[in-house]
Amino acid sequence: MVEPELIRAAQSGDRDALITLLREIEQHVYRTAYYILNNEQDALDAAQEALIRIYTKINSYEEKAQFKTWVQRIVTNICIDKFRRTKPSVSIDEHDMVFQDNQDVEYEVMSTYVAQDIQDAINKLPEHHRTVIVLRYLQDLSYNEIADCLDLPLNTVKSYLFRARQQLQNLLQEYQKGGVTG
Amino acid sequence: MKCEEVVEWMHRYLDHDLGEAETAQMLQHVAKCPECAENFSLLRALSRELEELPQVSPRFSLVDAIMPQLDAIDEARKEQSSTIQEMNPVPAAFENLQRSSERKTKQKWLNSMAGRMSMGAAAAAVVLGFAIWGYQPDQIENADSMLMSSGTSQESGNVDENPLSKSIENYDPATSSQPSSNDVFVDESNASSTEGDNLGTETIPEENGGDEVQKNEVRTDPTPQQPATESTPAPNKGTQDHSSKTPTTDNQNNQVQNQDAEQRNQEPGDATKSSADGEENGVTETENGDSFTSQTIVPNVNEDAPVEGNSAPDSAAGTDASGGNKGFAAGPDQEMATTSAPKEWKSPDGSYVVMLLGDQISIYSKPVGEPDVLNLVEQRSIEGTLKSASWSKDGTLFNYETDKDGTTAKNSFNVPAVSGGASAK
Repeated sequence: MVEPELIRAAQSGDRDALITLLREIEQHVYRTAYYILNNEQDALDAAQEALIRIYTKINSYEEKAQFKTWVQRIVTNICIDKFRRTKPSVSIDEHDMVFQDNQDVEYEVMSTYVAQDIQDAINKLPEHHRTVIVLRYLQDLSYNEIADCLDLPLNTVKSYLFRARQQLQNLLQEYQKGGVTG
Repeated sequence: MKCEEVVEWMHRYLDHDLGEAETAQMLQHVAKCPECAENFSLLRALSRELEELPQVSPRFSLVDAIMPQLDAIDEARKEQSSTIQEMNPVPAAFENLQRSSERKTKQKWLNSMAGRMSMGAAAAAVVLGFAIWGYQPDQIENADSMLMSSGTSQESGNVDENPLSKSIENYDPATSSQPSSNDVFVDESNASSTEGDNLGTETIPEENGGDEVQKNEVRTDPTPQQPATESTPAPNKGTQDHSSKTPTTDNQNNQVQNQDAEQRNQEPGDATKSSADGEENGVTETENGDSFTSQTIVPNVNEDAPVEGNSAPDSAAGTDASGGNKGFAAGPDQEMATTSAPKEWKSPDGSYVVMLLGDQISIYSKPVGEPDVLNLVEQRSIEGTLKSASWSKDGTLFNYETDKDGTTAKNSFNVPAVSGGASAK
């Protein structure tokens, strides 16, 4: 949690305060980028870009919003832009079909590590579902905070999160079945 | 409670969004429903796994990595704020410095373009001047080649040629001079609209003037409109001066300058014809002067010549303008006098002359050997109008009849016989 005094000092032109602030949020920014992009190099690039943007736009932050959601909004926007550039988007309505089709191919190369399974499963989620999962579990944000970050209605956030979890569960079940049968 | 609802509550439970009462209700259902129980355990496991995802960290400090970029941003901001103090505010941008330098180069480019265009305008004026004043075509070619040799750019050379040919095509006074002026305007505006404007307004009077001058020579009694159109020769002269001056680099220029001087001497005569339009002429003239000023950019041009050319035509323009006004004012007065009666009767031996000016009749003696000297002998006022007047044959009596309200009165001057000396009254 970044201290409000530090934010105010940074906004008033205290460069050291701003640098300190960036160091405090650096890991959070990188983590979000890493799980959304599922690639270390892309995550490093996106996180640095987000930190630079925060550095230049610190004065546009208003205290009525939470600082952490403001920061996460910046990093998720950058990540979603990158994500869209590198990967063709998957229609949300088709995701069940996609998982069905992919399962036979995927289970053979599944690692035995559950964490790795989960990360792979996350990587298969549509971008908004993935982002919601990341914000919920990596940043511990509430529904409302996620809604603020992504400019989405609260019900949409819930719907995305519930469906994302269901999809992940289906995927992992298939992995387990595949692991048993394979 | 339906299973679908319970599943949603399960999710909310995982997200710490479910109240105590709801949680109890949900757990109660799960306890009874094996399907929901399995689903609930799977979701809890998944959620736990998601919460246990490794808290990855970057391999190196991202802030340290971006420090050079942050320093660059700070520097750009400092430069920006300093440039804002020096210059007008510009949209916030880190590339501000770069932009301002771009702007400078653009200004330079514009200046040079304006210079070129005004050169082109001056050159076009040269060509038009030649065409209007009926110079021989080979002379025009000379002018063109002179321009080219004096370092005028290829572009303006092209611009020159167009008005030249156009003005020749439209030289016939029967054709409206307007289209050709427009053509010139279009040509110029290809590169610079403002210059084109100047030239456009410049050339219109020129051409009109040129045409009118020729017509005016034939006409004897001026119409009321005439003075307005007559005034245009004055700027024409000015333009002509510029145009002749322009190629001063060439050796023939002494000749040309002499011509200039002659033409300038003629100007006052023309100026008397000019009218209240004098102001407008002045403006046009100034524009010519402007375009000529930039002509000094042309390499190889003898510096003295342009300076002279600048000052002389400008001052000429001033006198043209004012002289034009004077001329217009004076002209009608003289004309009035003439029509009312600038009459004079010379005595048969030429030693006396009677003049009627208005209602004053005067008799002068003309001393022998001094034809320009007149000595007033007597002056009278006449009542009514002069009907007739004549000298007696011996030259000693001048009889005249006046008519006032129908009654005719006869009067006469008696003059002493011719004597050698001045006749003192």
